[in-house]
Amino acid sequence: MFASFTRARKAGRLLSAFLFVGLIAACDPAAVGPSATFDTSRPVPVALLIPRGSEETSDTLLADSLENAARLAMADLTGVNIDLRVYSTAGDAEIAGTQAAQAINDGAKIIIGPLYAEAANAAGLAAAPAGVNVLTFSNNPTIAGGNVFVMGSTFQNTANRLVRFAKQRGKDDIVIVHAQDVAGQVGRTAIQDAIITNNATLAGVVDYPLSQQGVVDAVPLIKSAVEDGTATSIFMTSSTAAGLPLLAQLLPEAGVRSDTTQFIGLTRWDIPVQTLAMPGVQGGWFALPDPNRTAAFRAKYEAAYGAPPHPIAGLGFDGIAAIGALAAKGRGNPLSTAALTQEAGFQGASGIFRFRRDGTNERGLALATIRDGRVELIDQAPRSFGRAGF
Amino acid sequence: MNLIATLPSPNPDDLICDPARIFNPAEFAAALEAARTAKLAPSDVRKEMVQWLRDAQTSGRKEIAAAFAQKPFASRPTTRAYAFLTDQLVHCTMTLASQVLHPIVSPTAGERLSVIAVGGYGRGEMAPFSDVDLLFLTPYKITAWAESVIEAMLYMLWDLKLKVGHSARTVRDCLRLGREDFTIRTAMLEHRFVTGDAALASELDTALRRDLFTGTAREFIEAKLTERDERHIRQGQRYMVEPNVKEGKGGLRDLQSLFWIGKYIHGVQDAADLVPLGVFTNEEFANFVAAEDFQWAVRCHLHLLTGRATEQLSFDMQVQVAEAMGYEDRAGRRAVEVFMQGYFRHATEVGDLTRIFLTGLEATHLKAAPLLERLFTRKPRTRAGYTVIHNRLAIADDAAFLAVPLNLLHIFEEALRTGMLIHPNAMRLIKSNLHLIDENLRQDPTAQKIFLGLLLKHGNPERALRRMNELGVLSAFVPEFEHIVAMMQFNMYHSYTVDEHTIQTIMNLSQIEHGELIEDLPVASSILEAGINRRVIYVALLLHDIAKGRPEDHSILGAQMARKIAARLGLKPDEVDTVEWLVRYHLLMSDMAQKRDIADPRTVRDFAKAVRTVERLDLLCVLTVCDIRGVGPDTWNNWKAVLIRALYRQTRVALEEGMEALNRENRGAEAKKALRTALIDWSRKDLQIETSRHYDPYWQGLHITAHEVFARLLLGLEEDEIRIDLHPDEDRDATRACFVMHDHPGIFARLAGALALVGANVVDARSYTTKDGFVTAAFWVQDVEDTPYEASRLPRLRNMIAKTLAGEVVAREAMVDRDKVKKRERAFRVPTHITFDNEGSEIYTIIEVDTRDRPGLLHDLARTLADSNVYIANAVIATYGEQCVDTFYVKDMFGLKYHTVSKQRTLEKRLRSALEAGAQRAEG
Repeated sequence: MFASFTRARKAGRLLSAFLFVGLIAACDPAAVGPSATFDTSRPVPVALLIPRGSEETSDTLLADSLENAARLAMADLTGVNIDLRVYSTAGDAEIAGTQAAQAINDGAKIIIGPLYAEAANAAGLAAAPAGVNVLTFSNNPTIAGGNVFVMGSTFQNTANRLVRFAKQRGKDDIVIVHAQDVAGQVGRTAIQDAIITNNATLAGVVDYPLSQQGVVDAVPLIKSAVEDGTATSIFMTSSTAAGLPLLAQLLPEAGVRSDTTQFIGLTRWDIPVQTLAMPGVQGGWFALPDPNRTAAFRAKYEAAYGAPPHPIAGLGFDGIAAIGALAAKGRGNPLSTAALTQEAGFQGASGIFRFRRDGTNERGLALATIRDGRVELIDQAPRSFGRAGF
Repeated sequence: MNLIATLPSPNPDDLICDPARIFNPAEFAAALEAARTAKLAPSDVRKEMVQWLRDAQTSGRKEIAAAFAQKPFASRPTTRAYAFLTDQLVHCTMTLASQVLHPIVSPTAGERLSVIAVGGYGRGEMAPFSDVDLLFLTPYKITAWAESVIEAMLYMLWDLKLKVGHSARTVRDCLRLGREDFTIRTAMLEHRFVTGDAALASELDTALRRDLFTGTAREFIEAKLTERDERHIRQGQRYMVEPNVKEGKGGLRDLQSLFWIGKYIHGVQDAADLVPLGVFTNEEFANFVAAEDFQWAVRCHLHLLTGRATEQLSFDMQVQVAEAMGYEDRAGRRAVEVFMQGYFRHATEVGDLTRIFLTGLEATHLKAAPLLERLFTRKPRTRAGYTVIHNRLAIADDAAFLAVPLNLLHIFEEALRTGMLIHPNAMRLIKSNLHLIDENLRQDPTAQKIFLGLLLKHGNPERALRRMNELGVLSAFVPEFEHIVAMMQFNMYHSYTVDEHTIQTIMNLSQIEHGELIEDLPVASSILEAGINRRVIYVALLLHDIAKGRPEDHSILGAQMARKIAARLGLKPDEVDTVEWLVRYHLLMSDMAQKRDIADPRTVRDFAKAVRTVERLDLLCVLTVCDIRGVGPDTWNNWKAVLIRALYRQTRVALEEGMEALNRENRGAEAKKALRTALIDWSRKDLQIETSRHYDPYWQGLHITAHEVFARLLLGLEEDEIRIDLHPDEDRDATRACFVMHDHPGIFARLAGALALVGANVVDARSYTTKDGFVTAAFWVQDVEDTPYEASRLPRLRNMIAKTLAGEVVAREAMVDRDKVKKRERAFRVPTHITFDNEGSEIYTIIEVDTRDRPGLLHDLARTLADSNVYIANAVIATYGEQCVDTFYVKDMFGLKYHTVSKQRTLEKRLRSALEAGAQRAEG
């Protein structure tokens, strides 16, 4: 039990680490060059760019996990052969760029990876002249667009799902609470956009410097923002690694509780497990990947490799699953932008997902609440991108 | 159905001040021009212009607020001014979004966008912090351009701190959604073009009129009525002492519902147009308008004072709003009370009239009773002159009805007799003919008989009274009643206005009479069963608070008034005397029971002397119970029940068997006998010690269960040992805490401090010293919710008390951040009164401290007394909302009463300064 805690916590740190690298650097989605058709009866050459060779041991761990997951997906494919070629980026943007160019030289028709946003941007630029698409593991929407598709679950996607649900439940008069750091600001924008998309109402925005005192000082502001009349929910961007534990304790003490004002979280409130015990998160809503499919993937991975997958390993699986599904159709260029953004989407390791024309993605998320310290599903993940909700 | 049209924009002439001072469009244009000539990037132009708008908004709002402060009742021009300012801001952001940020060179037919105000904003009525509800209208499926413009506008409006509700729809969406959702439909009922493509807006207008509003009145009204019911369930059915101006009963939303429905049915644009159509009379409409103006003014002040969209008129805000609106203190009444009476008069007017109209609509216009019900319900028979319409009592011929003024009373009797509700039309007829109830009618014996009959004969007098009060009949027939209609008492004790409280007390009485409350009120129920003079008790209840809100003592003045009124209502002279006496002393029993030690025979003797006869005791007991229960839903509790019951029983014994029956020795002997039985296993010697170590008051002041607990605690008590027993005393809704230890000065104060520190609220306390140098103290405590402690919390409580007593925690220091008075409770003024009474007890001086309640109050007082070497035997605590009366039974060091005035003065001074110090701490 304890071992899995530490792993989960490490994962959390990792996730937030890779999330916003390169956010500030100007990212130019490259113009896409001509794209070739190819013969799908032969093995499809796919390049996998992973952060192997980095000095960070965590990168190596991740790299292995991503490759394992990709190979697991390949084993599932029937009627399609994939010629997977693995390239190491060492987690470095420059190396990622040269490796991407090398991969295209080697005949790759599509690139899966790399992980970090800057690296993905470099790979995208290198692959653009050849018209090759890049499915990066990043979840940073600022690098998305052109030939770069981000596979990681985006704040936008999560925010959208939750705001839409809040709207259905009549809890759509929303106060946003976010930290002033980059993650907090990106989170806020995601929620604001979701509010616009779903015709919800922004009741107020409270931000705080990322410090204990900052959170403490913000609590009365949140309280008054909520009590300004009609606000029905508080949408918080912070995770357990940041301000959430403090907010979860101080807000109920100040008389702002989830049974009267719905708490909503942009991050996973079930990670780490200790979060579940906090009084303030009880009754709150958060989104998570389809738990059934995630568990199935996890079991399969463990059976194959004898160890649990890294939390984002599923993205390696997703990339291959998408390519496999498209290649099986075998028409024209199955890996063109048009094909990748097919409405129906794909079945991934953690449920359904699809790419959008702007390079971001939509994932079918489940919604959960916390009751008596336990996670309880309140809205199942969709099984397909039907009209309902999407 | 041609009148629901796009509402006009606020007319600049109707604003509270010169529109140019609120917002100057020319200046905006100039600033924008300057920014663009400076060749700034679009994002920089945006930044600069949003800042410009923000400044303009701030100064515009300041202008409006200043002008409104000058004319604090001019709500209409003020709400229009806020709408005007908002229009300008929306228009400017549209300009920025569509011309600077997302300019479009040659727009296609699909790239048109119209911004429409809906809801309250659409009506052009906005309080300072009202939501801004916008509808972005596009001709076809929304284009990327429109999406960008909308998004840019929303971000700018958010930067201006406006709370925007928005939707982006096509005309077809509007029709479809409006059909499905009544909230959307209602919002669109009041749509107003603000900026963008005007042709598109008028397209929507035509379509809504043609395809949505026509022919759907019935379902709309049903939906609105349901919505209103739900709102009232959420907000409470009654008029609340801390009302919600917007959503509460009789609030703005009720008025709007009424106007919506009227407009919807009759297709008019302005509610005033409903008058010529006969929906309202001129007078009714004038009442509505006055109420609406008043409530909007209140709402605007509320927003301005709190700096946000506050709709709840909480106690602290009531004081501030009253001040902002220029109310002043009058003789006997605070400004806030005058203001709130005004508020409630408007609210009840609106609430009652809307109900009449809506039930009228329901009955005539819309809801047909289910067929089966119609077939199988027998039409009740009515007396001549009445008829039944839709199962309600109606008047057959208005002119004939009005020809006999007595009918204005008689109809209520007929309604009670037949058990029917009065038809809305009949109610309106009565309300507009109140002048017929004149002095002649009031003096008419038949009228008096009918009126008393309403109280006495039909089993539910509160229904007739409430209806008569709503329609103004009660005030017309008993003009003295007019003064207390909608009168609020500005404190936390009374949950209702005085008139409603009066009706509540009568409702309680009739429930007791019906035997509905036998379990809760065995004594009162048995009194009524045995029979009392019903005319007297009902009239006394009706009149007991009649003199509230006047400078004189309301019991004394009320008694004088009651004398006249009771005679006029046709009571016999001896009955009039009794009513007068009851009104004069209606607080006596409650005060005696709650503020005096009823274990002291002297208390009972004094009370018995005042009451004199069992008949009056019975009447006063019933009156007291009904009065307390009528104060609010939670005022009556077991604690008060036990006290009043005990006082009643003992007084009855004293009256029936003579005062000697109250002899201390008798009761002491009985208590000792009971203790011997309870401690059957004890040795003779131990029993002997126990029964002889206590003074007489101990045996009288405590229940046998407490005697037993103390006996066991005292057995083998070590030097320096403190023993504690906690026991839930369910009869009294409290936890009894018993302490025994060696006696030393100030022990009472320390115990009170320990209890205050653990957050326990002391409701009663007894402390006795024994002949052999111990002290036995019993405290009855409740938790913050005024209930006994749950068994599971007792160990922690015991622990904390032990720690405090052991000196590990110093009470006064640890208390500092605990005894804060809540903000909303600060608005109450509770003057402090301290009185010394040497007559109320044989051996003690009684010090009564009447002041504002707060945590730790008892401790502060007890400590001050202890520091002055005062020995405290008992403390009796009575709480009335934020007001608290702590009564101490005390002796000086030598066991004597405080007779000398100078000593009393010194003590009073010390108590006062302790109270002030404590109050400052609590306010801080």
